[in-house]
Amino acid sequence: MSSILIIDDDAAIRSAIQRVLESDGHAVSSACDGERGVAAYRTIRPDLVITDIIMPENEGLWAILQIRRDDTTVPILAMSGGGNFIKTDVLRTARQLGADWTIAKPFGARELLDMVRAILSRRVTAGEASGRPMDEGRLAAG
Amino acid sequence: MFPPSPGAAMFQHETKDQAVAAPEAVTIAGDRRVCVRSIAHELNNLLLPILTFGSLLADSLQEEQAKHDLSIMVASARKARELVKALLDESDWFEGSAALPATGKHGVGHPR
Repeated sequence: MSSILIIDDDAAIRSAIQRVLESDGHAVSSACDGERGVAAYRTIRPDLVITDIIMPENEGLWAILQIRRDDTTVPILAMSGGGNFIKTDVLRTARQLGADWTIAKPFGARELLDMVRAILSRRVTAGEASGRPMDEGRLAAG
Repeated sequence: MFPPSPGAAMFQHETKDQAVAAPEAVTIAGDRRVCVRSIAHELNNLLLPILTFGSLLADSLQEEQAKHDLSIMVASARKARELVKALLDESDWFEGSAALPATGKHGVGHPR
């Protein structure tokens, strides 16, 4: 089981992603904007952060920058339903600012689970390969 | 000093009109693009819970008829997802076209 933090301003999306991840045995926390998301991250220190990009209050790009300042290793999965004001590939920008993975909304349960499993297994493999100490929860995630 | 010729005045007038018209056209096109992209963004957000909860329910349901009905719902949501993607692609194309004058009058036109 891994600890996963979801940051999204849409309650239905938070609920949907939470259900999918809990069905796979993960412990899921959520926040409704970037500021609360960063605060939750600092408290929980999850194994994975999944964040939306375009949010009314302190958007996801800001959250990614803040989290990356604290921790360069935690995997960040950025998601977006497409830019709505400017013709910019927001997911590409998210990668440039520190997101490791990106996924375009809308996605199905299987797509999300496949991606989360890949990210978490990669994190465990990378931790073992580098000899970096990892806690039991993270090792169990793979 | 010679007074400006009528032709010169017409030229100046035409140029001024064009100078105003071109940014207006771009602004209208930009507004439409923002509208299309905003709607597409919202539709994508609406589709996500349908697709994820639909998949979860389909896996958990026992009754064959209900499973079948739900699979039709999820398939419809997937088709809607493709439609939204096509809409966004169209919006990108429209933006690229609208940034240029509608004719080749100024020596700049649509790439063929």
